[in-house]
Amino acid sequence: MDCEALKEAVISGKFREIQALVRAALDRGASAQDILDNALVPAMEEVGRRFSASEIFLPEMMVSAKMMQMALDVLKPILSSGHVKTRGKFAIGTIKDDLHDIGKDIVISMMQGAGFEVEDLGVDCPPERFIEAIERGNRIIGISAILTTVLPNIGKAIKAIEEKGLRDKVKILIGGVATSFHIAKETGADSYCKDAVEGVLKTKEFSVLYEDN
Amino acid sequence: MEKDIAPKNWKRINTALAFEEPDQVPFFLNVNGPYIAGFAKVELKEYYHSPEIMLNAQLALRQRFNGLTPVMPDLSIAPEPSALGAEIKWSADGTPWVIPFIKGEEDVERLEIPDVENAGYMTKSLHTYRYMFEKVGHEIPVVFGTTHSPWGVAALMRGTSDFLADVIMNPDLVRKLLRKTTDLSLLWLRTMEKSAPPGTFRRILIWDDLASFVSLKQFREFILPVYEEIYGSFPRCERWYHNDANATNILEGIAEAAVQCFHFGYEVDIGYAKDKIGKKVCLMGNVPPLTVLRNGTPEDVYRSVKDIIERASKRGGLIVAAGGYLDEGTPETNIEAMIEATEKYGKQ
Repeated sequence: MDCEALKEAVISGKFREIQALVRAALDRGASAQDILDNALVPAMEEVGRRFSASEIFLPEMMVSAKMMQMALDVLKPILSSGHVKTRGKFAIGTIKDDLHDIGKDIVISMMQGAGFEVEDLGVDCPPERFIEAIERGNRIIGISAILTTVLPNIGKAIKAIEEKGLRDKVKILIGGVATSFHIAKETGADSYCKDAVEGVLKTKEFSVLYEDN
Repeated sequence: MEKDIAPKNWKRINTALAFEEPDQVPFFLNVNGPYIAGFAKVELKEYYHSPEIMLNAQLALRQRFNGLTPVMPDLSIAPEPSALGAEIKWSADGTPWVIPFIKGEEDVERLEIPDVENAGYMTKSLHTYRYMFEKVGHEIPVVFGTTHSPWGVAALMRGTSDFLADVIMNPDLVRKLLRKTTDLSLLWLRTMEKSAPPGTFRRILIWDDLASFVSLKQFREFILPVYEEIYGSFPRCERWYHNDANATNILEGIAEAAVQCFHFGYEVDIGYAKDKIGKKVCLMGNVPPLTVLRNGTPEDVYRSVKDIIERASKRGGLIVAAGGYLDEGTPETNIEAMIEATEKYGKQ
């Protein structure tokens, strides 16, 4: 019942109530895993479905992402005690010299909704920021690019990851309006994602490779 | 390419805008910094920062395409936010970006509408106009009348993700911020009107890709009144609008804003747009700028233009163009193919 109310609250955007509902669910004995698996993840999946179907738009999507973060803030102490299983770790950033954040933020909210532990690397990311994310244990990396002028920087980041000897430890996805299947091939990325939904699907496929992590 | 192609094409554009069928479907070459600087082989950062380099690059392109491209101050997203105090970051490749700085309503209340002679890159844009006008204004029209939408400026100053969440979580902040950015746009356009020679300030172009990110209901609540106020303040001017994100969901709202010419993106189905708003709004687009014009072959361009004309040229109201600005590195042969295909398939 608590999880159902929580799920409904996220779907309908009741941002003022979300943290109280999470605390109430915990007080009544729900585990953090229950809350993630039976409320937050299915709620974000439904939000993602509605967004893909143009039933809702970016303001609703961004509010859901913020609500997810508010819920995770309450759950963080329990999550960090290691009793919760996520689908895997994923890090994403917008490539160097590109400061667009919106596409990256959509991917983040949908990845969190799909049950991944997501690290936001921000915008204007130099190669080192991706390298450090891999060194912290992220095994799937997303690189976003909106400007065509920054496309060479994707290749440079992937080359830097190779030179650091980390390329075989990670799968690299690219997305954003400047990118394409051909850009993925040219830059040495593992895959191109035409939108956030495809990003989630491909991350799920790749995450199977790293289930032990 | 004919020597007098530009005046002939403008005549056709005016016919299309009047919803009459021109003898041939017109076209438009939408260009800005990245393409122009790339064409002229100058650094983008130098293009933005030197009025002389900007003017020479634009003149070289204009000469190459027989007067089809404009001469204009072109400082991308920098003028409006910097006039309100935003820091502009210039990336290594020369692209400007706004550092978000509005953290809450107190920051909005502190914003002051500036004196345009002391307003960051807005002042630079004004000085660039004066420079261009002095150098070539006696023989070439210098285009002045473009403003970044108050909605887009507000989003950049607040941070786009937070601003979009504010639409639901803090709508008062959105309204207050829009009031400031709308006042700035009005001041900016009035300054342009005063700067232009009498009788030549005839067209206002609002550009606003971020308006596509909201629902039609949210568009009507927050954005439509802003467009109405701006266009309504200059009743003698043509009302042009650029939004090359996927605007399918707000097409009706764009028509309600009394937009006369809508330059839209390749993701909008042109047949759908024609059915939805094509009797009220002249459509400009929508050849895919990256996959077809930049990366495709002339044959791909021909196919795309043929399809657009077949689906949207009846009863006028169509201008063939890239569905966005021409990307840096777009081959000249593909631009010529777009013009030739319009001639080949666009005869009425």
